[in-house]
Amino acid sequence: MSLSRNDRGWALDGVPVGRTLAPASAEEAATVLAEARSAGDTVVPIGRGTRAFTGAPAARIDIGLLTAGLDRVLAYEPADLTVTVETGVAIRTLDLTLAEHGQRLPCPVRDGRGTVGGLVACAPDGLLTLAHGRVRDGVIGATLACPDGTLARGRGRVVKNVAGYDTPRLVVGSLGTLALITDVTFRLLPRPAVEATVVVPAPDAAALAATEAFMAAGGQPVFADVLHQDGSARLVIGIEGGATRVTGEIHRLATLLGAAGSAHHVASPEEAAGIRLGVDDLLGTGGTDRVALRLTGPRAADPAVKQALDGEAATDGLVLERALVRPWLESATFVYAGPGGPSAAGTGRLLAVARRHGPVVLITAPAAVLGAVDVWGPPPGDLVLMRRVRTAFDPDGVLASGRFVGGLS
Amino acid sequence: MTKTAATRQVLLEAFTERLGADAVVSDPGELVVYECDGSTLHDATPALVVFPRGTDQVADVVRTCVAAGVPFVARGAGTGLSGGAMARDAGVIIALNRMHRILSIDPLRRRAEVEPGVANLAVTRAAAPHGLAYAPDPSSQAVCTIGGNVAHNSGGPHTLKTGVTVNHVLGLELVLTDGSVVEVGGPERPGYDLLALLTGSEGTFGIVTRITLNLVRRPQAVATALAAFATIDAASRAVSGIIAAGIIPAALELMDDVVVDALAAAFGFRFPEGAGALLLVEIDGPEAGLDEELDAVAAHCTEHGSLHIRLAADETERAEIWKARKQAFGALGRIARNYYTQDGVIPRTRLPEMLARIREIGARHGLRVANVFHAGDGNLHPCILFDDRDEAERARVLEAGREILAACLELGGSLSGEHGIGVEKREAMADMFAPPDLLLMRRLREQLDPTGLCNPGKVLPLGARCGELSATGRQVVL
Repeated sequence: MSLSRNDRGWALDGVPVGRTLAPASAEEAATVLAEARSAGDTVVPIGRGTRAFTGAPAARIDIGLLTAGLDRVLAYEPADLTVTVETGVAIRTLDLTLAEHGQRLPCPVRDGRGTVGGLVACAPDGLLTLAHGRVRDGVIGATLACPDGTLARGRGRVVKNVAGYDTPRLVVGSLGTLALITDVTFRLLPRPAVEATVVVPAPDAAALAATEAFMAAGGQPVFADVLHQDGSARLVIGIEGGATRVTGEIHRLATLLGAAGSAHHVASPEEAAGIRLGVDDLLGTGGTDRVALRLTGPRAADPAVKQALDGEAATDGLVLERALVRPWLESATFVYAGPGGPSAAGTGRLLAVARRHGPVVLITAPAAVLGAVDVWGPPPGDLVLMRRVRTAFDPDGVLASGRFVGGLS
Repeated sequence: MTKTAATRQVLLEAFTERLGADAVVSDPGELVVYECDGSTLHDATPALVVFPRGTDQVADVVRTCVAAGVPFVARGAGTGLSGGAMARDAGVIIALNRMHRILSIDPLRRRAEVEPGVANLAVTRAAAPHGLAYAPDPSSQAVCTIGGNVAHNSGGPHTLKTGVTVNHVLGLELVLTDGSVVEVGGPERPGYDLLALLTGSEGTFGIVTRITLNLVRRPQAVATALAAFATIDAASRAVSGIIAAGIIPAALELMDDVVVDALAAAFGFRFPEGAGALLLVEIDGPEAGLDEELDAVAAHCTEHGSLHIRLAADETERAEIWKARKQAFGALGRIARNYYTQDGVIPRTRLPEMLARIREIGARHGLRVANVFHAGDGNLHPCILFDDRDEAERARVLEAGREILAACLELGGSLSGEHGIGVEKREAMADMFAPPDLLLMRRLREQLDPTGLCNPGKVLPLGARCGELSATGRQVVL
């Protein structure tokens, strides 16, 4: 989403926002939704408007909902490794609080941008997904302000729980189309004593095979990605834990890489920080003057696919700015940029080429492009169930109509 | 012939014709087997039991039931503990035991595609030659089915670190209540996370006929320790210490004095003098640093007064240590005629307080309660010992069970960590959730199963406490 402001007021992906409201409490948020429903107004949760995320432009936005008023940490029990926070809390603020007790979210955001609500509603792939799962795996409870004016709580504050339907995980990644998430409970992880990053410049198939062999023999990296930046590629492998473990694991990995003839080094603290930030930045990538798309499935890491995309982008005058290829997660994010920015026709062609290889979501593009291309791709086979889920939450289509998969409205 | 008997006859003929006589059970003597699941406190006789061999047959059975207005429920191995696979209102049980194939193992992508009737352990056995395993490992894993695991979002002793079923399901094939078949995609594909909604929905949204599972790599090294403590309080403080220190063990299992005595009496286990609690700790991961972590675990046990710590030097000794944990329930079976296993969750730090409350509740009702549970995630399994021939005692057991659950909720916990709600805890849902919470769940149920015939009477409370004004309960009693 790109939020902009000019003399005519706010606009989201080029769609003007009628007015913005910032409820001071969860109850007030529920009331706002109920009133919007009665008045026939459409609402788009915006949070603080800092996190870039995917989504087609909304059909109409009468009310943009800001969450600055939902800014409390409701419960933090370090010894239980759980935290319950309102969704307007900035990730940075939460991270600092958790750091005081040597803890972190399982789905941390390195640069601390955006809000808890943005993280949960958009559910971007995270730096540590390989080791600690996706955003949904870290969410154990939530409170949802629904368009009927109620606050519905799901699950709870304990790490293991099968009571009732898992509505908290259901809304993770739902892009504000089901409810306004007013608070979330996460399970937490201890912060590691040592973080290290092993770098393989110009990785070839042998380097990837050596990394696979490392994992097959019980190596547990927290990430293993190919990062393309400034015209070159690096295989970056994150190792975390106690000092002895990290030293031992680096040695084992280095031995395998050495045997494969792959030059490698342990990143300096500066390089490591840059890599970790770079990965995260790419995953939550923003900007309106470029095109970013995400391909998933078994072909995502295929070099031939990247080559095909690079070639197609060139026809629109674009070059690869950055890419993050995640062979062990079967996903790849590509960012293309060029002097004139992407065109609608060119982006459409790029998406068509990418979609030959798996599901593709257009993460970001200029507003004019977003409105002209298919952001989500062909509807998945289970769209029939998604429609019913949407009806259960929001039968009148108050929330974020048209933004999500299959144009759910 | 009454109308309901006529309906039953029509279904019997239809199923026999389309699935074959050997795929339908209608004899009252045989139907008794399907009256209840692993918990014998609830029972109901199904009208019929059918054994489809594939998705098409499941869809056909579902359509036929819906057309006749008869409720239906999926059933796996029948090891559930909340009455979830029980056919209320003389419904049809769709037994998935003949759909037990492992369709494929993909070692490169580390995934398995299976039918719902396959046993949990069979998946790990099939994956083992590739150095892979299926992570969730319920105690009943030798028989319990993957379909049942998906329905209950099952856990097990090793799920503290690796997660429960929902963290390992990558895709499903689901027969909806209109008989249509839908492929439900993984968390990777764009759209709502339907896998999170379906996993743990206790078979109330449709019938799962195929599952894609994530397989995990075997850890490089494993270390297992059994620490004996004088009291369960001391042991649970050691648990808090280990967790608070940032160690996430692969398993952290606690057993109290009743279990210790039962193990000694039933199987001749020998524990250190004065042992009133046992703590099993397993850590795994890369070999480097594992000894250090084990030392830290031992230090926390010592700090909290452990009498003795036994370390497994090899696989044989590890199996010996686990034997105590795995035979705990069997040992209880030797010292009491029956036991009723509860399943509740509390925040980990409330463990000592909760255990004291369980003791108090047991004492007040004149019942012995044994505790053997997953301490690392606060998932308690108090076992109330009783004799089912004593009607009055049976009633006290149920009351004590309710009080234990109420205490879990009071301490900020949950009604169930892994056994599910089923019929057993259905009414207690209104104690854990407020009307708007239940209303949303009810609306999801109505949207996903507009017929109201898919495993009715489970999960959500009935009547005035259900938080819903327009119940759909159009169930036909045969």
